[in-house]
Amino acid sequence: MSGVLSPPRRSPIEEWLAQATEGTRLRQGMVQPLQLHSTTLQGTAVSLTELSWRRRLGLKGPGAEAWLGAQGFAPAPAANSWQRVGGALVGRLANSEFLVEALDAGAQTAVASAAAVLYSAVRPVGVYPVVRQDLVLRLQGPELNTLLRQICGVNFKPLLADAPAERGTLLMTSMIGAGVVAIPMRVASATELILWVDPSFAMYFWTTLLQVAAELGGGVLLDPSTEV
Amino acid sequence: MKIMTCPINGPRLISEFAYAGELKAMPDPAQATDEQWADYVFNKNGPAGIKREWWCHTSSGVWFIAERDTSRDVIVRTYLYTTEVPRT
Amino acid sequence: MMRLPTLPGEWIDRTRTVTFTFENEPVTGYVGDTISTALAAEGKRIFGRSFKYHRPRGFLSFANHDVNVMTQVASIGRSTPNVRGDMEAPIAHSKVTAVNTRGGLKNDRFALLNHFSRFLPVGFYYKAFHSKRLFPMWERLFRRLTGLGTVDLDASHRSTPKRYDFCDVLVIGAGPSGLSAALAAAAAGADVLLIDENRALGGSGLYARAGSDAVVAKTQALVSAVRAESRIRVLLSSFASGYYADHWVSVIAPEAMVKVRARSVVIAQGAYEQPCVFRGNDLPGVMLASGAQRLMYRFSIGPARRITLLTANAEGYAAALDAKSRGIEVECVLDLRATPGPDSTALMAQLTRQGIRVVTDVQPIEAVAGRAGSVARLLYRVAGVEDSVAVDGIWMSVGFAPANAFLHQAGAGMRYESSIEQFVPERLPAGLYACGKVAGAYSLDARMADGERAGRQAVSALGAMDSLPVAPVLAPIECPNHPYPVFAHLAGKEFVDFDEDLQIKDIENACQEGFDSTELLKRYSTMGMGPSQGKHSNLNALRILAAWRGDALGEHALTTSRPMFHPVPMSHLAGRGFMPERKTPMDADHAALGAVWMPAANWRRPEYYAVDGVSREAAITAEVHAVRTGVGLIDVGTLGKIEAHGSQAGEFLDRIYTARYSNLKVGMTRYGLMLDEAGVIIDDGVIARLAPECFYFTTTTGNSATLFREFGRLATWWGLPVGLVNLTGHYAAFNLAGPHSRAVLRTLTDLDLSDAAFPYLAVREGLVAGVPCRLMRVGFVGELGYEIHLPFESGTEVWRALLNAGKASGIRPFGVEAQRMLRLEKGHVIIGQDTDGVTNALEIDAPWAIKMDKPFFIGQRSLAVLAKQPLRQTLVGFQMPLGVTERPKECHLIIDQGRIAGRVTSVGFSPTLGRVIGLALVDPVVAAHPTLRVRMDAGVEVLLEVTSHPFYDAAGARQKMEVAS
Repeated sequence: MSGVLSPPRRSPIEEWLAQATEGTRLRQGMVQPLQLHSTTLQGTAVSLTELSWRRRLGLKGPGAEAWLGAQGFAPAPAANSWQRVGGALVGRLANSEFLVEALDAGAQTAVASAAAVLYSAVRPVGVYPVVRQDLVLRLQGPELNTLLRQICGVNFKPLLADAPAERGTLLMTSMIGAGVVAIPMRVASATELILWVDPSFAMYFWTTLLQVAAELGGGVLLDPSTEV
Repeated sequence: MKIMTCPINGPRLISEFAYAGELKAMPDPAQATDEQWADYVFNKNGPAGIKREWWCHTSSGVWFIAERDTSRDVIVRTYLYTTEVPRT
Repeated sequence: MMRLPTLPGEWIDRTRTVTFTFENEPVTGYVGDTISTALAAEGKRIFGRSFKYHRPRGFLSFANHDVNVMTQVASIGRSTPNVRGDMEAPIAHSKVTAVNTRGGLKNDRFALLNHFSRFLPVGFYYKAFHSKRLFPMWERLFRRLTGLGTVDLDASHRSTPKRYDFCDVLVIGAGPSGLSAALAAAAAGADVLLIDENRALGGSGLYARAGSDAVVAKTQALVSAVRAESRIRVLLSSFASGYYADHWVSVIAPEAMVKVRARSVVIAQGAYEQPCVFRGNDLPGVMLASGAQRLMYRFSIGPARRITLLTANAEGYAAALDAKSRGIEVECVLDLRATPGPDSTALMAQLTRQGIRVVTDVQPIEAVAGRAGSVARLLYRVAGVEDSVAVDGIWMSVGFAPANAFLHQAGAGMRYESSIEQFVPERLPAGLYACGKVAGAYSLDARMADGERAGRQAVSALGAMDSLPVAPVLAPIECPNHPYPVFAHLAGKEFVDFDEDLQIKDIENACQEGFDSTELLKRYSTMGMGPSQGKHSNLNALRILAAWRGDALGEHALTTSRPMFHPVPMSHLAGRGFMPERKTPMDADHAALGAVWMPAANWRRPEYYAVDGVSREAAITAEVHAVRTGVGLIDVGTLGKIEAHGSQAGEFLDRIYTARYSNLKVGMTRYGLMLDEAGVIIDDGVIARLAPECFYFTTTTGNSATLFREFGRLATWWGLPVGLVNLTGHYAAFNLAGPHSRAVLRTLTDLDLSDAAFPYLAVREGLVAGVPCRLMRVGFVGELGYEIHLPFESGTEVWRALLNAGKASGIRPFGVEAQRMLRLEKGHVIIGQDTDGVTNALEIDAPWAIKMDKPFFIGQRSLAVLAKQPLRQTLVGFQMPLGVTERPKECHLIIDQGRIAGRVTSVGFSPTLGRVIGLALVDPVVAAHPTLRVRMDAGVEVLLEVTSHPFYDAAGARQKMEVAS
């Protein structure tokens, strides 16, 4: 069986993509759509963009922080913090678990390489890999706070108003009954909220959020960049 | 809805937390009599007052101790287990 | 009733009309009217029938404190019950009818119940209709005679999504004190949310005018200032339905519930005007003075042509001046007091100038109806002499009850202030403030000053947990509350609770029968249990109770106040109704394969795969057959999947499971049984050792989240450093099982699958269809098989590859039902099915799984205690003769010598063995017999043959070796 290419990664909302979009391409090995079937699914008041294809890794353990630093992804010292390192996001979840995700095209390979080492059979000492197959979404738009007010008991308004670009705080909370990691950040001049959701909740989370967004004049926004 | 303050994640709705009973020392199973052991397993501290309890912030998995005054329904303070409470 | 001339600030828009029908007759009102005011404008006087006696009713409070006017509104898409006519705007072209009538409002056939009221005393249900045999019949009768609207089961769905909101100061009530509090809080820099249940700001500041513009002008200035203040957000037509912990307030806005978290709360909800209790006080035309003021100033409705005011405070005199200013003739003002107070006396002069006479020291006797059924005359007594006036309206202004429900819900301490005959707050909890009438301030200036104080305090104490609010200081005023506005009549019909049709003697009879405390009186008489929840009745009832007992009012507490403040539609409580559901990556594939779903915790799993023309039983049998003779594939991705890392990981597992794992060889697996501290079985799974310091293990679907959390707690408590990772949602898993499973798998992997390289119970990591996977040889269904675990993103690819590769072997996907039969044939226990909440580890006949010689595991010490006692029950296998298909169900009881000796836990017809097999938990003595007697449905008893289990392949050979294919 050697020589068989590894099959593509499948999005946790593959089932929704299959019926709502047409055409596919691979982004970091994950099947992603080319366009929406219908423009009625679009909406800018508050938009949902799937980013599950980005390369990421998770880890914990006594040696995790040092190992991350050695890979060039040093985390910020405060609990529940994140910072941009190169083109990647390095998040510290509570005190001692870490999430690294490539934000920019240039960082995808670096993160993928680090992940390959981390998840290989030879495990670095005291470094415990956390496999992360999350549904990742970007929420943005003028009605973002209105949508959040329907789904989460945390007051996001001050966090979105002051969203930082390089480093800031992250939250672990619950939205519509599913646990999420949430990071408000400023990219260019736009405020976005990035969410990481357990993939087994993905279809429920995505379709429910889309329903709420649609009622507010929002919808799906496919990530426009052409990088793979 | 009540607010509980996680020592790491800050104040959140109590629906983000799970309760896991009172903090109590386990007697040495080898030394305890059957009666002492049964008392530890089955008997709970009933009267209202200040209880020290295990609570978990489910969204993050952080475990901590909450001191609650059950006669006034007030959460007095919360703290991580390792830093303040002598381990048993 | 009639429409009055246009007034600036009226709530109606006379340029736009709305048409609807009431009791099948067309009605046209203005936009801004309510159902009641549109009807009143057309001259109606009777708007409803009372609950018990079906008495004709008009308006009482016009403030949502009574339900005299309850309607059923049929509009497009829905028929809505219990619409309060006083409050709700009519929907164009809707059909409105009064509830609780038979034959319509005018000719309600049940009106004759009024004449049988002697036979319907308080508590009559308990006395005459308590026969168990007859009660179903009585109940059906009562439901036809009384009751409110009808539920429309075909109503279209309405979206009412809830939302959260946040503020520094929440001000509840936008009358003069609430407006002042909001302005003061905003001036101090706070974010303020101001809510009011009316559709406009201003409260009584805009309708209790005493015939002049002074009060209105001051109130309007407050309203304008609030509108201009950007730090104040306003929610109108919204009421707070309950006050909850940490200043969490549920606000019912028209379209949805708003869950507000405030940092402090100001209660400015005012007071409910109370009726005077005398015979005939419920006749149409008899109403509260404030109700009349609302009608006159908000809707430009004249409630009558010629009124008398029955009063005991200055507010009544003010209302008389309001009537006059709106063109209504005031026959006289009848003051219950011998000596009116200073404010009343000042207003009296104005009344006299306008030719209105005032009579003091009055006792009302009876309101008498005219031919039309509404009030025509009031009989009263002055200094022992009877007199009467001919009027078509009697307005009552004898006192108020403070709207302090939330103060009670928040645990405020109240005291009775006898100078104003009112309960006022004495001890307020941190962060809660009260101002205005609810705190005892009645004049406009006093309310404004009090509101300003409360607003300032609410901000200054923000975040200071220790500081307790100061109770308001009361300025001396004319007492607004008559201490006992209750005038009994021999012929009764002096109504205390208009919702429940309760009169004075109902209260007195209840007391006489021993229900003479507030809580008992309420429940026995239903006083205050109607839709108004006692807003217009509790205080008078309490007065009558205290008088009957000879106590002072202050010695009695009002009944416990609980949410909801007003009735809340179920739609608003439901909101959007989020139903979190978890799915494995193969969910869509299962659906395409014809899966019939069953819930498993918050996931869904295929119960079986439907085949055209094949029954459910036959489909499941075919799936079982495929696994036993060919190969099957089942999605087990809902299982909990956890990794434990570190040098102490083995030690950790040793403590949480009954078996030993620190000695488990790398590359092997071992079954795990998990107990609680009482020795009761709580879970099971398979533990694999992937590396010296890395274990990967499973839990049952239902327990994955709670167990993962509990492991975190145990690691913390024990101080054991172990890295725990929850892969439950991030990994897919399936089980490829059957004699052909190895052959199928071989086509997709380079792993050496020979028994030597990959023996039974081993775990290996390798590529399957190009994807890195963990494979384990496990024995749950009792055939050669591989449980394959892999990251979520690759789940469907490998699942499809296996189904494809297995085509030649006739591979079938199989579901939970087939799996349950397969494992039953092997006698394998399912936790939670063959065990319950008290089954301990000694009772499932699996001593091989328990290593008592370990230093410690959870439940070990309790098992030592239990081992000294006789075994309570034990798990046995049973079978029925070949050919018998009628079988017991799970939980059917094992009977021995007339007593219960156990129960069936699992049972089914085994297609492999051709007979019924099962497991039962049974008293060990009885279990030693060759047969068990089980009682099935309808008391039919059959014998079960006790047998050893596994029932199939007892030697366990099939899961270990390849069968030549």
